[in-house]
Amino acid sequence: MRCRNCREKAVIHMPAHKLALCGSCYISWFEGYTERTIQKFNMLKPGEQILVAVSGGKDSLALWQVLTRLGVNTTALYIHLGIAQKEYSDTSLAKARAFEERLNSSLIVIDVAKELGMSVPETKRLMSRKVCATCGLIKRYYMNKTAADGEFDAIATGHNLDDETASLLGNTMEWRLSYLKRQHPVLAERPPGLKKKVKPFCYFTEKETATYAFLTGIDYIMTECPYALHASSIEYKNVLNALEENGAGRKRRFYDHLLKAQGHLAFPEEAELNRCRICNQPTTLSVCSFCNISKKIREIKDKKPSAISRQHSAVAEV
Amino acid sequence: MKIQLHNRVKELEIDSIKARVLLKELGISPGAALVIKNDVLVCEDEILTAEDSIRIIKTISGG
Repeated sequence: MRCRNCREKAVIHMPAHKLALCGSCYISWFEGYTERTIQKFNMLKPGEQILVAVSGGKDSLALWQVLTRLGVNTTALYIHLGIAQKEYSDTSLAKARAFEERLNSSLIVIDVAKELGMSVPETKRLMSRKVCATCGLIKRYYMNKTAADGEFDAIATGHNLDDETASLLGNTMEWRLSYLKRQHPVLAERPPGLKKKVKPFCYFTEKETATYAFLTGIDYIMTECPYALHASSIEYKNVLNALEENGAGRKRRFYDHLLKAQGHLAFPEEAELNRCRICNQPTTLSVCSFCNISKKIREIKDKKPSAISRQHSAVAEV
Repeated sequence: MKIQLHNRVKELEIDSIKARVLLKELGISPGAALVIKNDVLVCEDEILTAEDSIRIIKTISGG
């Protein structure tokens, strides 16, 4: 197979784009396509300061690099979740740190265990909610807080087409209308204090971002998060890839049709946001979920050790 | 043929095979993996032989 541009040997064939490209043409195409996606959805304005949320994985590090190459003012944020299994958090932080040096950019690091008094996996023993749900809540909180405190204009995340269509499939199967309403490549800033969020990679498949990462020598963490090994999102991605194999472009059409339908379907009104009376961050409640978790952790840690172990046993029995 | 698949090496009794067919044999969707032959990324129509160094990088993540 030959590159459509220069006739060199192709390294990737993308049936959904009816396109095969060699390594150097692919890198140019990928960066140009990101720029066109940013323009299509009017994601960023010139001069805006962007906080790129990085995990040490291929998508977020690639996004940080592409935005930097496109001349966007970026600072990255890494949230250390304290996942010790397979040294997951330490390794992913090391990848993000090394990339900070490579890009000659800057990285803000938040250590959840230091900030909250407990790592994300430790909260599993003390809360009834799933660790991934707590993790998502904590990450969203620190992303928005860091963006607000640092006066950033937007938060950029490395969500790709597979992430987006897996969410869409999951939300459609459960008919989570409020989530379907809010799933978009750009979530506008909402008063009081909810920062704009953008997903410049929303049209790339995971294979496409992995190809870009490989070709540009991005050293990313390949180990899967130990808590995501049996995530339903992986199951949905496998189903969607099977559909894509039998019909190129199906994932893209699934996503695009949601974006078109959003203007025509009746969704429930979004709850109004106000400021959390403890931390001042936006929430639909009087005290935000993050502060509720924080309060619970403080209460547990303030108890005597014997009381803590009793509480652990009680949670384990549940 | 030796294939490096993440941290493990898989051996198959094959002299040569198309990358797409190899992925199918391994139960991996072509849309969810990169095939690296002798350190070079290749398309799914590439012929792989037992003499080649072959690495497969799965691209799906739970994120």
